[in-house]
Amino acid sequence: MYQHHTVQRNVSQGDLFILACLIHEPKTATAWYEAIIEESGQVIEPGTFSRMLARLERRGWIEASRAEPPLRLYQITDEGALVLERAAMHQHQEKLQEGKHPDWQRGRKIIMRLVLWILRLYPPAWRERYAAEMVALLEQHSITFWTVLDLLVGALDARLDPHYRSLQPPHAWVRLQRSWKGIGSALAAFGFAFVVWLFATADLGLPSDLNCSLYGDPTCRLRVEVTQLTPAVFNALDPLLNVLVIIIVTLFLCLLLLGAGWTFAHMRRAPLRNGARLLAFLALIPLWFVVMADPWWTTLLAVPAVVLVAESVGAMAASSLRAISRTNMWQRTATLVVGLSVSLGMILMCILPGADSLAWWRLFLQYDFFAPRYVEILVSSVVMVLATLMALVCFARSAWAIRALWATPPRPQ
Amino acid sequence: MHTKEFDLGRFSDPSLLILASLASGPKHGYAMMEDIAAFCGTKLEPGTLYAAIARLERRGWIEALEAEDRRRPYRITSAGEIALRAQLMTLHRVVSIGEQRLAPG
Repeated sequence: MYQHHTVQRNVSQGDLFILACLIHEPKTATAWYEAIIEESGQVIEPGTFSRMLARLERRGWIEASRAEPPLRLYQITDEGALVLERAAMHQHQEKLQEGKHPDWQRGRKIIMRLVLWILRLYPPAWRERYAAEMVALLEQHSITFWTVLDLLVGALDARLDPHYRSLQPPHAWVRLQRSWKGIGSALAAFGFAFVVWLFATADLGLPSDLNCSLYGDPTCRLRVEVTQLTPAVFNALDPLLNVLVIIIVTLFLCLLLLGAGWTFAHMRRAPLRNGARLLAFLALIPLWFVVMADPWWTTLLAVPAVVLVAESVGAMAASSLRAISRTNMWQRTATLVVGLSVSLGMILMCILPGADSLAWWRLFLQYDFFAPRYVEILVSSVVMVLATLMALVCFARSAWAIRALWATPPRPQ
Repeated sequence: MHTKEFDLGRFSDPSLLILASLASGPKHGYAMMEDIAAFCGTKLEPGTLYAAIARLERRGWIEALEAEDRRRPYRITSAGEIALRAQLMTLHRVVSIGEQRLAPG
């Protein structure tokens, strides 16, 4: 900013004016002189003009062709164009700051904060290169709704651009951890939406004449249980859910206790982290069996447990891959099996309730669509479908990451 | 000068406009926006402008000069000039053929 003002002070308005008369095309001195008189409506002394011309040339803002004086063409240089541009910008800024109410400036600040937040949506590589100049530009620009929308579209465009994605690919184990977290969050979202959905549908009051003679069909049984408005619907899912979660937790504990090879060798305070996780699970498991009678709590407990399991197993598998010498066939196979079985378990946990909810969706279609809790049902159904999709995507990504980890060359001994 | 109804909207390709704007000398982002608004009436938004600048720069049609006080001026390269000329030639062809076909008789 300071540099900007210093440059401005050294430039006289007259110099800028005659420079501006040269901007469109190169001119001979005579043509230029006439253009100045025409533009300004004032006559300047030829002596003054030639002094100004010499000054501009000395500063390198104009350059002259090689021809002799009457035919010599003067042309604005790149530097001269930049000086003009800077002066125009300065004028514009002054105009902006003139007579603005303090409220206007406060509002502007809030909008700028919003816009800066949107800029964070751009990929890091893009921001590193363009963010500073973009902010400078936005400070001058009058920001409207379309500007914000355009920035959002721009951010999406840059995110989808493979150029910025390939600049900084995160390490495979980071990707693995992220996908575990994704699966965990999908499951949490699904669980929440599921509970909302269940309450909302229970409130609707269900038609009692569900033609459901095949009582052995689990979907049908679920329907009947919903109509009876009992939370016992979870019992149908419980055995499977519990068995899976218990298998995962047991597997995790076994892995944890396997020995030094499975610790996070490259992380600081890794044993502490593992210990904290272990304690969390030790606290969770007895709770599990205590609350088994109440399926609500089992489901609610399952969500954080699964997130923890997913994150820990993923990180552990990845770090063990780094820590253990790759030559041991057994350990490699064990890691792969653990990774795949856990991810498979996770996805099953997302898909099974998803499939059931689809069966219930069919049931839902039989209801009055303008029932009081229609919005909740609709939103939670959408969330459940989205969560299932997200879990599928994360599952694919984690499989990818495991493959990448597998394919990376072993570290030199 | 240019009325709204003749604004080409999304068809006025930002890349072409930027190249045309830089053909008269290096400019910063804001100066480009002003210049483009002045010569063809299209008001580019910063998001669109920088998406196009990033693409042009990657193609080597424009290049960034040294930044001055956060703002970074851009300059058209010789490859960019060739590309601009080629695009303008196509547009000329479109214009002349369009005029021929619109001419009465």
